Amino acid sequence: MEADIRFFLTVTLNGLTLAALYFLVASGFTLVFGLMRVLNLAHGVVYLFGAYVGFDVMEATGSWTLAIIVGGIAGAVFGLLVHVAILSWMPGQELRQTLATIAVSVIAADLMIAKWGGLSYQIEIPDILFGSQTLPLVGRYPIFRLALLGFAVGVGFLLWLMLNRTRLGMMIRAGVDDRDMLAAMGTNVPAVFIAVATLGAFLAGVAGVIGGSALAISPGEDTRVLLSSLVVVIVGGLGSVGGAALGAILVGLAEQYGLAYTPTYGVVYTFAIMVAVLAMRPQGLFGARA
Amino acid sequence: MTSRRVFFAAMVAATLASPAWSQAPTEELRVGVLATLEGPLTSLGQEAMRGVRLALSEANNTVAGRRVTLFTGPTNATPDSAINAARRLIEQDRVQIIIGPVSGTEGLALVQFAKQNPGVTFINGTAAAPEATYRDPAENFFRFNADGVMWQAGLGSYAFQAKRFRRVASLVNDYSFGWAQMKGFSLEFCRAGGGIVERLWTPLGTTDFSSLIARIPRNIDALYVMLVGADATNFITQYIQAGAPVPLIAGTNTVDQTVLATLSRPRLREFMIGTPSASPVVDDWTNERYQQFVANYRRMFPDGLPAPASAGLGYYLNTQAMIQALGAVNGDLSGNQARFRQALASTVVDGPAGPVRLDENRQGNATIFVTEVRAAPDGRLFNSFVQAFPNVTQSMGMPREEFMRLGVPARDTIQCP
Repeated sequence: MEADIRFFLTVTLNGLTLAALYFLVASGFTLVFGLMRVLNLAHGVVYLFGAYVGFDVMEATGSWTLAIIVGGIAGAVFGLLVHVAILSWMPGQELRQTLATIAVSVIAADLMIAKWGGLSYQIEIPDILFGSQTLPLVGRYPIFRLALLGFAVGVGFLLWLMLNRTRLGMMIRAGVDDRDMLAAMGTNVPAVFIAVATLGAFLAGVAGVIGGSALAISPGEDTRVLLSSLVVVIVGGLGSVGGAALGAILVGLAEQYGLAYTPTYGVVYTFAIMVAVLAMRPQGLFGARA
Repeated sequence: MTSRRVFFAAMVAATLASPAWSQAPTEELRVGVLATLEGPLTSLGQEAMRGVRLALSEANNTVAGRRVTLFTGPTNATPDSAINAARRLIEQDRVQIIIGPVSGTEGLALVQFAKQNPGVTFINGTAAAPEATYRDPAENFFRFNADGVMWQAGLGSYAFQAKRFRRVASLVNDYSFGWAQMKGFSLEFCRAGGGIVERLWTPLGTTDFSSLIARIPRNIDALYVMLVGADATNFITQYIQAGAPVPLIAGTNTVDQTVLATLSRPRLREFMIGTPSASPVVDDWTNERYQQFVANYRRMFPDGLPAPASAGLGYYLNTQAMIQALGAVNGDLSGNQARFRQALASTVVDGPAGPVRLDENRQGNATIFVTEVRAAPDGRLFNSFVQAFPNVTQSMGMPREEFMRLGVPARDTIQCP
């Protein structure tokens, strides 16, 4: 009985820490999606690119913090380029933009295999974050996963501050609700788009370095990350950071409970949640009515 | 629309099957290679390509006076991607021979595809699901590498006798290759008297193992782990971060160089030292022919793995078989490749670990090594030679009928609770 409770708590914690990673990736995705109505399917490769750059920085300098920053910047530059060089040439044509991002992701994924090869890498984490910590009720638990949870909460708080307490945040929120009205009020909407595209890609790059430290970086991670972000955003609702957090928690928990209690059908639960949300509340749990 | 597509397919099939086309005076030999160059098994696919290129370069890229032109069919380890790539190789690149694929489930799909494409000869790469050449084999599918059950020869007995592991649990990738390896391990481990108290399965491409690690029972001596590629790297790191309560027994791909080369942290390396495994490759065997193979590999691929992995050896053997058989018939692929296939069936490949010949189902025998992970002076990990089992057959030395009765590899093929 006690072992069962401990197992349940461990799995719950696993779900929450996985949710932290999903939130980091999906928060940028949801902002871009909500504001620009662009399903940026290159988000996964931005994650992977940030991770690989972070790995190289870590190998060269040995500084994990620097790896996170540079990985984030690399992601931001990538995202900015995609936006300026491709997406801004086809404004308002959502389907065409989406298809263009698929092309970018396929090409970029193959280029990354050419550059970094097929082996999986791990970004070495600082020694103080490696190993396990004894927690009450749960027992030994990897320190890094706890740090991951704290990091995601921190990023979530900063995003909340930015969205609710700054002028840019105000414009983003207004843009999510009514883009045309925002433009009519004299705001330079294309500039806001660029800022959001860059911010979203920065978050994806940072998430890549964190994800590459918690898990491994390998070809194919891009599509896996993209798929989970999509589900998180669909469940949480377009453009809502709070929704992304809730969506990430639901998906993370479902995945881990599934893996722990019914391993064979683990994958099904995530999609079952998505189907249920789409059936009952198509705009997502926190999404505004379209 | 549909009838037009059928008509087109029929035309393609007719063109390929017609001897007139095969006899056309093409100087070059068109060979397709299927390899997982995307997705979770990319490192294995790249290693596979090295195996092909090594064998071809040893023959100067020429067979019976004809140049070999390679066409690559990239797959992502799913059966449908393998079939799509094979179809493209045949219809677009008009290859006469296909070498590959990498993954077990891809192999099973390709055997069915081979039956529908009798005009093309299929030589396996490193796909190791036993059923591809066991119960319902295809006439035009040849496999010179060993299957996943054979690769575990000797491991169960070694874990029980030398390592003194009595009760183990298992964590294995949930697809045909994982089932095969599990069967190979439990065959000997159960027979020796060991017990497998819990079997955990996880899909290929799992990255977060934390909840599976929480499910590993506490009262066991060791954990049998058979995870491939990135899955293995992820698991090993997370297992050690979670405290790593018991030592590991590793499946073939879990400690081959596609994984060992990715472990850089000293604590990971220290923990892995002493992990037993079984494999068709071994990194420090003193046999002269084998050393020459390793040396050629290193010379040709300075950026490759520290030593060839099983995917490299598998593709190398199968490509070498193709070269030898083509040489024997002087490059003659006429008559629906009949002479070539006959030659292939009787080819004895001068493999790095010993001669390989096919059985009546066109499945090769193999030398399998029991290994243990050791650290080189520079800290790098490698698989050290413990014992060699020459001439392992597909029915693992048992009478064919008796082996057949053990059942198709599945999650619970051989039980010993």
